[in-house]
Amino acid sequence: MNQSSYVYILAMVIFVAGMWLIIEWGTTMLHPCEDLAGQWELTPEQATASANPTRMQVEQSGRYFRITLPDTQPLQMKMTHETVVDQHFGEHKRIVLAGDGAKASFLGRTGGDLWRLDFDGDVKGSFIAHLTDRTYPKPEPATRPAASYSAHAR
Amino acid sequence: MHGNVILILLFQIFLILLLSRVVGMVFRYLRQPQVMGEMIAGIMLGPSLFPALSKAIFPPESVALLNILSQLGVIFFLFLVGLELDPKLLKNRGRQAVVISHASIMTPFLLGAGLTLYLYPRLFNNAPRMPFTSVALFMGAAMSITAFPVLARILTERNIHKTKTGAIAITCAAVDDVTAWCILAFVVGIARADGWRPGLRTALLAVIYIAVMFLVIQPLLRRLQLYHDRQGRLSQTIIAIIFLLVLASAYTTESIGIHALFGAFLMGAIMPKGTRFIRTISEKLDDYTVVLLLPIFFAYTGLRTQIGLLNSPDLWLDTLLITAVACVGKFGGSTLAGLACGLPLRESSVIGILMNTRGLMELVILNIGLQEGVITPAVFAMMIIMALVTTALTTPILHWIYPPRLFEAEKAPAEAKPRFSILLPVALPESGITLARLAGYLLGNHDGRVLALHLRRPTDHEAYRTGLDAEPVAGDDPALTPLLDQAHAQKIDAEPISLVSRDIANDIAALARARNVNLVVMGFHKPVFGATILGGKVHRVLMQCPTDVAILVDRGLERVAKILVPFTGTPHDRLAMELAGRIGRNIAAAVTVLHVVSPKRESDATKLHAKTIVEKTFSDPTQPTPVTFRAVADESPVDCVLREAATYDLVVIGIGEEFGLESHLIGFRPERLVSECVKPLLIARKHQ
Repeated sequence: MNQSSYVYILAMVIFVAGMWLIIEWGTTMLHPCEDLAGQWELTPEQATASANPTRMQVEQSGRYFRITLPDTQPLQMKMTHETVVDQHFGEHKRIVLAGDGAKASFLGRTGGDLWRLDFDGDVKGSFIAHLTDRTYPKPEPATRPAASYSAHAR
Repeated sequence: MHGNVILILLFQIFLILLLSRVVGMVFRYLRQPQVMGEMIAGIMLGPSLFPALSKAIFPPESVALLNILSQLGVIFFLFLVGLELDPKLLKNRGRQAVVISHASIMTPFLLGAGLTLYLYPRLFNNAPRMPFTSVALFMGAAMSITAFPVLARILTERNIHKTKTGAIAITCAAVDDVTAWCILAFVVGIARADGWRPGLRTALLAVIYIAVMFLVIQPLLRRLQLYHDRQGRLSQTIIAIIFLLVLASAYTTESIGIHALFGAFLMGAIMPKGTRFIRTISEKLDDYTVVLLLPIFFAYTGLRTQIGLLNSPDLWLDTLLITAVACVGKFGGSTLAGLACGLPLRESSVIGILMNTRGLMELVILNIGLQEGVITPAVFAMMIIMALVTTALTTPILHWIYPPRLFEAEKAPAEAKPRFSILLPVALPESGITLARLAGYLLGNHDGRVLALHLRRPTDHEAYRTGLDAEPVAGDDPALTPLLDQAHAQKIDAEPISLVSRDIANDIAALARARNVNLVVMGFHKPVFGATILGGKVHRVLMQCPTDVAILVDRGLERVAKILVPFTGTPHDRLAMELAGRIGRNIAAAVTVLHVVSPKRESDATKLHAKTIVEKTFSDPTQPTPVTFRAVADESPVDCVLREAATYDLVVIGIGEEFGLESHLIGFRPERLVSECVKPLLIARKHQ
């Protein structure tokens, strides 16, 4: 074997070991940000006869957001907090975004489509926020196996 | 409504083509690959620069049509890339190339995946197709891509593809190309697979698909090639079969869970190589794909690129980090592997720089990532910037690390002893005969030689593909054949040189300098702008050449018995006398030096001075030349020369104001002497 062969084998070993370490570490230790990207429908929490649902578009890259509300300039916001607030009935999170003089606080079930949203800025108020159209749609849920269903029934 | 959609689409395509050609040409002028300009043109059309205008021209509902056209374009482009992939490049290139190419993939792949450890919690969402493994593998693949077509184009343009360094870089890029598309198929398979069972199913189907392509489709293609060869032409039925196979292959790979582009690439890769069949298919497809559909792909990419999403300094720092890691991975990996394989530092760095070119291929892979939902729009924008930066850096850094003179030194054979040498740049093959004849008159039986140079412009096709196999070997270049035949008949030592050039005048000057030639003799073309023959390209050669230059105006140069040299006393006139003297001595032609002055300046002193110079020039007793000196007073030197020239076989004249022979980049009055002289004219310019 010549010098090139040794270099090649060494590079291969480093590559395989490095990739294994990176994927092991990444899959066990790292968590991406809650996915809130998509089209939302906001209904004021204190509903009045004149209060109509509003549309909101959220573009998200991890912690970085661009939120567009009708007839306003897009808000460039950054996630400042993402904390788990309750574990009893599934994991619930509070996510706080801030930027462009506004603050938005989402409270809801992790991975869910229904959130409570408190807005403070040019737009103020509390809303029931429904994620109606996700940018990254979830896969269709698989049919629940019959055995599991009957076990639950018992 | 339907009519409106068609109108909008036609306008959009018109705009895309126009802008992509214009910006592409600007970038070519700036010595950047044309594809860089086309990529920038795409970004310019998107929301990054003029969001409101972009939205007005490309309303969201119309973008779907552009998407379909762009996808078709990329499918056929990848088929062309596969078609151009020559297995000969991968064979017999030694272990060095294999080690460097694999290192140039593994290092950026590892660093890209490693960088994901930092970026994943910051820039990625908890989305179904964004688990860490998919993102890390995708980032690795995106970092390790090399744009083989752009790299090949840079090498060809700088004429370094035949050097050892160039050959290794080409091989590495070809290996990278194949590996990258296989990795991409794997990454897409992983991203799409929901659990290990579908993953295993995809892997199994992929193996079956590849086996079918090699065992069933490839033999079928060979038969198709035989049928084509027997018919002697590419019928529309064969073209239709090829299209059907490409579409079927892309459809199959898309359905089994690896991307459609892999199917198109593999289909091209298994086509029988090095045949006229392939060249014809490639030519038929190339223009539509590269000129029409790829700019639409760039525009579509631009429409999806939102640089506005990078709205905080943190995100720009991340972009810088991504670009730095991409450069360090690709450049560092290749350079270190080159050094480890025993290549010198400079050559290793050149390979590293070349491998860092990502260009169009990066855009293809990034679009797949965004479409599959593996990366977010902000990461997409960051990676697009990285692709543009790494591609744009290649040419200037290459120029800096390895200036052209070093490549010239690598190519140029060392001269045993200096000889009188003449460089003959040939544009039209038929003009080579006269140039060789004249060179023969100038060299005679002396120990001189001729460098026959054909510079061809790179074809547009090479912007995306290698075009390497289409390039003639210097000795077989049909443009040089008449010149070489004539030189052979006159027993002149002639060396053929065929090079690709983007700047003909500059490269003639560079070669004259590198090969230490004594004289450049060339013909002329009427410039595109202006009417003077000493304008345009000729003017630039005259100005840039570090040696004497002579322009031949051929009016049927055959047997030369009498030569006229109009003389006013300038250094250019003296060169003209020297050249006439050479010809006179070599073929025993009679030289007449005509001293033309205006009657106002005529005096015995000026006559005597001119005569002394002439006698000094022709004073070598070992090489006698029959020379006659005549002095004429005339109001119009041009008219005088035109009258006298009618009785001579050749006029050798120095460039100068007196005879209306001045060199301008753009001139609108044709030189009278040139347009009205009925005899061959050799216009000389002394290098000062």
